[in-house]
Amino acid sequence: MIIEINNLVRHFGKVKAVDGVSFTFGTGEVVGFVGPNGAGKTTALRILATLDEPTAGDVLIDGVSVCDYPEHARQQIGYMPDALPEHADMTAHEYVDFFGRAFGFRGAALREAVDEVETFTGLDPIRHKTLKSLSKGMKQRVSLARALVHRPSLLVMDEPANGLDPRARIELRELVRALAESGKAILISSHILAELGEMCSSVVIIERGVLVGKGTVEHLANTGRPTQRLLVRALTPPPEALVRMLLELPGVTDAQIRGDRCTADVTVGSDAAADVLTALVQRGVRVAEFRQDQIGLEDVFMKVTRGDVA
Amino acid sequence: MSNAMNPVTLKELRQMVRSRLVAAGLIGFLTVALIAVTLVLLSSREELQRGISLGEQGLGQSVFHSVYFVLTVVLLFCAPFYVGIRMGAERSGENLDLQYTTILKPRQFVDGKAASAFVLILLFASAALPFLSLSYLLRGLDVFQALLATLMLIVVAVCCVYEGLFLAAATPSRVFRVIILLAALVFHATLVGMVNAGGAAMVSFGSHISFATWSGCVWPALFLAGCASACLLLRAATTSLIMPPPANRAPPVRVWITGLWIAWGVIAAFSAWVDREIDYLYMWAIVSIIVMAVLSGISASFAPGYSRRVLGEISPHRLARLRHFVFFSGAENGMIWALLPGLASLLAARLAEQIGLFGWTPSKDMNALRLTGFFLYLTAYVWSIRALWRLGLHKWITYRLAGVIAAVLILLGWALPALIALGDATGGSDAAWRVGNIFAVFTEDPPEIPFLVSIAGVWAAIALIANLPGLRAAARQFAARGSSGPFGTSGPTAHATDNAAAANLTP
Repeated sequence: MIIEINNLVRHFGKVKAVDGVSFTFGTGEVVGFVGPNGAGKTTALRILATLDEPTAGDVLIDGVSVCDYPEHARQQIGYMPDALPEHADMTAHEYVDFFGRAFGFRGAALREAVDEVETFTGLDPIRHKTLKSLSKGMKQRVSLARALVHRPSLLVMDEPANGLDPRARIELRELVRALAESGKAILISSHILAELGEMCSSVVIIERGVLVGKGTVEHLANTGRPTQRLLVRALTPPPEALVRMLLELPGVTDAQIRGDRCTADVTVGSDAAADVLTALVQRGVRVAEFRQDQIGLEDVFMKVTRGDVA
Repeated sequence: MSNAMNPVTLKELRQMVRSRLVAAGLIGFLTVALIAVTLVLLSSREELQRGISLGEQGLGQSVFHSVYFVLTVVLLFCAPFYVGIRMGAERSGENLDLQYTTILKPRQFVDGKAASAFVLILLFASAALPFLSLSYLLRGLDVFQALLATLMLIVVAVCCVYEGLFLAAATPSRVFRVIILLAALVFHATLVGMVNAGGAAMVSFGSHISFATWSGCVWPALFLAGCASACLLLRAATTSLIMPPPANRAPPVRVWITGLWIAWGVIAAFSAWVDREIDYLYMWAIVSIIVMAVLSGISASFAPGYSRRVLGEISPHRLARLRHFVFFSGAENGMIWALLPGLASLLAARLAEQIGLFGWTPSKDMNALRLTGFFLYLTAYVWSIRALWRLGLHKWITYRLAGVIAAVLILLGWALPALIALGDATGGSDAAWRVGNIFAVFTEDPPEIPFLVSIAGVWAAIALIANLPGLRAAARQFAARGSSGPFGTSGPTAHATDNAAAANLTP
């Protein structure tokens, strides 16, 4: 399955909520959809979930437009909003069962579909509890079960980790990984960038409705960057002396102390890091730690966005 | 059995079974009914001790009246409010949005909720049965009349349920919801009084309804037809309101209104034929003209252009496309749709006058010419405002206000000449009456009428001409379309082009 978001535009009067966003992803991919508040993420997701219509552009699922054929798209898409409605008079099982029926399942097929998602999301122990009595983490599981009950190929999740405790987040992450391995394409919008970094195979960043970056975290981190950053910790000499030594090495453009470690920016190249390490050892430095400084999604986010809100 | 049921009905029934509100309502109803019956029985203890028979003192009727009142309050007050509150809560949250992501049709939502509400009504009615049976055992009660009164109450309660659903769907903003709630409280209090009085009168004095003769069936049939029309109309309007904004929202409403207009036209013609009285047709025509003018105003308040979903549903066949042009969502085509039944009603009235069948003669106070003037004035107002909006008003006001502005101007056109006339004893304000007053055609001076109709006609013609660019653009949209199925040739590129064309409709 290929999902193509083609030049998506959505205007509300003079406000350009989404302005020419385009990206593509497919089966087995987990794509993070990132942006500041008011960037247009939810608007784009609502268009994808057939709840809204773009001013221009289109979303295609295997070449079929979700705008022109919403009924077809709805069978392909599982939409999970950021919150589950709080019903005091409806159990988790009844809620999932209702949505199974709403997608046309009946009889044995319905029972099978509902049992399958309840087992997958771990709802069995709480299936007869009312929605209102559930914890936030359990509500998200119910919401996920509801989104999966009709066996969609594409799962759209809007802020799924919002308000979850660490344990629930880890469990959600595992569920998302299992879904991706089972061949579903997943699009996740979230503010919790650390979570997305671990879950997503690639990210799309939008700001003020405009796409400002897309690709893997590493790709985005290194795009337009002439140097890579190395992290060095030595038993001897002390950091001050190590910085001076690093600055003398060829290819090192900058070096600074960071706690008990030093950072060194070196020209991007396949041998640059190896050359620095060899030179340090040759000069008698007792290297205890030497690695490339990992740039997380948060760093990438801060790098590509300006913090403006539409 | 659950597999055959509408999923929404099943969900609502499951929720109802678990709902504390429903349980409390049922217990409350039984308690109040029990207290009411006990009080009635206690108050008649003295008569019983004096040896007055049950039949003589009408104890059965007294018990029936007390239970009927409690049941009326519950069915006409509590049931629609419960349904409305549930619908409103779903509409304000994301729940309804989630249901839109399924393959359920909006019609199924409304039908499912209405069906579950009907079960609730039957539940309360059946809870009242033991008390109603007791009232029969206490003598002095005509079972047939009591049954008719109860059936009437249930039919009105079903209408109220649809009204509750409609109001909940029509009022997304909190402020508006409070205003509607207060208005609904007043309306339902009045309705409870009316239905209760009607039911009590039927039981006490007899309704004189007999199904043995044809004429005896007329009033019950008209009552049922009226209630069914109201329910169908509210159902269609609610279905339309809960659809997502880009959806093709107009067809359910327009198709049902057209159907009801035809059905009531047939009833009016049949009644006119039976009673040899043309006024039935006039009444039908004038109600049609007013309703269609309101709907024309609503259509004039639609956004310019067409959503892709609307365009995507247009048939490639020419005749079907013509039908779609009239019934699909959209401003200009909606105004055309509203125009057609108004015109047809006028033609029917005019034809009835001309042919003079069964001794029909034009009424002194109302005839097709007066109705024509009335229709032309209403059309002129609405179409003028839409034209003005396209030509320049859009810079200052939103399209949503076009119908409201037309309504305000119609009121001013009627009120201002009247106010001028109040301060002018010489009659110099007569000229003002000829322009802008939609009721001017109902003057007591018949020779004036052709002149007034001419003025209205010229104005309406100018308004129609001024709207021609918009009409042409709308017609082009429909003429150019032609869907070829979900995976056919109408690809995204074609749609993007059409969307751009639709956007160009915005001035």
